[in-house]
Amino acid sequence: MTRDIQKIIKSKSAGSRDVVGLEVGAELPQGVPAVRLHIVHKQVELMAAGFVKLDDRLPARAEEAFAERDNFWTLPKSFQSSKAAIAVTSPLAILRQTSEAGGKDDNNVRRVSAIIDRQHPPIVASMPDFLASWIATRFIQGRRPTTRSIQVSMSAALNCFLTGPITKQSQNPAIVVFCFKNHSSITAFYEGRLVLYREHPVGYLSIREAISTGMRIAPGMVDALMNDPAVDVSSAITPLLTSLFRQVDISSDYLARRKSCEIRNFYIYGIPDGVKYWSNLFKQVVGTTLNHLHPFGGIVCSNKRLVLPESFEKEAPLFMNAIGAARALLEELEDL
Amino acid sequence: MSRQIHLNLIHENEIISSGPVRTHVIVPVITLAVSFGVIVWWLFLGMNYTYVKSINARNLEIHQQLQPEYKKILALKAQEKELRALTDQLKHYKNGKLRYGAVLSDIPGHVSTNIQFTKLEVLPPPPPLFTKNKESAGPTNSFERAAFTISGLTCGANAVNAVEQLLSGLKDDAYTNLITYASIPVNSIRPENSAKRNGRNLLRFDIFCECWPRRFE
Repeated sequence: MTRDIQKIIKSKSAGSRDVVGLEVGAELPQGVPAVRLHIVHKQVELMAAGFVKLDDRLPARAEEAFAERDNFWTLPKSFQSSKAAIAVTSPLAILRQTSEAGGKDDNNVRRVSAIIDRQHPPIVASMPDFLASWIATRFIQGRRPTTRSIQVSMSAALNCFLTGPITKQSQNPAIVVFCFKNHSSITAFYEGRLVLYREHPVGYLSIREAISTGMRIAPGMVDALMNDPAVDVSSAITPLLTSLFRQVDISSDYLARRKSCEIRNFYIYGIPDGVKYWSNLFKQVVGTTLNHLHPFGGIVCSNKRLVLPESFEKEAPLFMNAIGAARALLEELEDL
Repeated sequence: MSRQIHLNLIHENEIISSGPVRTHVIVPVITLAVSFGVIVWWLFLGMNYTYVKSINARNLEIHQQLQPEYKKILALKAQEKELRALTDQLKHYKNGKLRYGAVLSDIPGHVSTNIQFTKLEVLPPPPPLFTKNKESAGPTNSFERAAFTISGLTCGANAVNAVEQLLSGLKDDAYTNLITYASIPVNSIRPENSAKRNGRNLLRFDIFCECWPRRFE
C-alpha cells in the first residue's frame, strides 16, 4: 500500500522525471553540450538542447579544485530542471573492464562498478575524489538544477546506446564504436548486455589533426574540407581509421568465437563530420556496413516553440555524452 | 526493466535539493512554531484558569461574609412585608368604616313611648378565611359582613305594633344607605321572665339589621 502511494506520488511529480544532461570538460568551442529531457507517458521528450556558456575547465589537482571552489555554474532558464546528470570528459575519468569488481573507494579515487553477468568481467568507472566532489558542488543548493549524477563520458555514451531505440527493438549481437574527442571506445553487446569494452587512441580530434597535418591546411578548415565532395581526405585518415577498424574486426571475431554467433550489426556514434569516409573504409576493412546512429534517436520533440542551434543537425553527435548521462538518470528515476 | 549502466560517482551526501524550501530547514521551523504556539496556548489557558479561580475564591469569600447580613435582610424584608400588610389592612379598615352615628340618630323618631332599648350590639365580623398552609398578614377578604341587633323592652296593649312600627321605620328610605335588610327573628318577641316591673307585663324583643358589607379597598 505504502509502495503504491509512493509510486503515485512519484508519477504525479513532474520534477522527478525532468533531467538536464551536461558534458563538462570537453572544452568545445561551441560551449558545453546541454540537453533537457523529461519522460511523458514513458516517452522521452526533448525540452531544450544547445551549447551553454559555462567555465567547464576541470581541475587537474586537488589544489586547483580548492582554488576554484567558488566557481559555481548557472544554467539558462530553459535548462533549469530539478536534476542534472553530468558526463565528465577528463583524462582522470576512466572506464575499464577489469578482472575484479573495484567498487570501493581507495587512495582518494572514487570507483563504482557494474557486474554485467558472471561470465564477463565487471566494468568499473573511476575518478579522483577531488574532481567528483568539485563537480558535485558546482550547482548551488536551493536553485535549479542540482547534481544528481556524475558519470564518466564513456559510461554516459554507453547509455546513449543502451537506452536508444536499437536496443529496445532488438537484442541482436552488435558492435558499437563511440568516437570521442581523443579516443574511441569499441563495445560489444550480446542480448542487450555489454560484454566487451575496449578503448582505442583514435578520436575525432586526432582525425582532424591528421588531416590538418597530412594535407597542410589550417585546423579550422578541416570540417569544411571533410564535407567538400571535391576533396578526398581518405589518404590522410586511412592509417588511423584502419587501425581502429582492425580492432573492431578483432573484437568482432572475439565475440563471434566466444558466443558462437555472427556479428552483423555495426554501429558508430559521435562522428561530427566525414561519415562517408568512415563508412567506406569500414566496408573495406571489415567487409560490412557501418551504421551511423543519431544520439537523439528515440527522443520525440513535441514542443513547437523549442529553438535549437542553427548547426544543431551537424553538431548533434556532440550531444552524445550529455544525452547518455541524462537518459541513464531518467531511466533510473523511472525504475524507482 | 531498463538495461542502462548507470555508474554514478556522486556520493549520497553530495546530493542536495534544488527546491528553495529545504526540508531540513522548514521541518524544524514548523516544529518550533507549532511547539511555541502550543506553549502560548497552554500558557494562556493556565493564566485564564488562575484568573477565574481567583475570582471564584474571592466571590466565595464575599458570599460567606455577606451570608449573615443577607439573612438579616431577608428577615427584615419579611418583617417589612408583614408590617406593610398590617398597615395596608389598617388603611383598608379605615376605608371600610361604616358611619352608624348619623343614621342611628334618627331612630328615636320611630320609637314609641312604650319601647325601651336595652342594648344596641354590633355583631362581630365572621372569622377571616385563613388557609392552613399559608398565613396572611393582611386582610383575607375584600369585604366583611356587618350587622347589628337592637334589643329592648316593650309593654302595653299595642306593644307588638310598636315593635312592628319600629321595624318598618328601619326599612325606611332614610336607612337604606346603611341597612339592607331588617327583620324580627322568630321567637324573638317574648315575655320578660326575669321580673315584673311595677306589675306590668313586659315583652322583650330583638330586631336584626343586616348592613351593607364593609369593603376594604
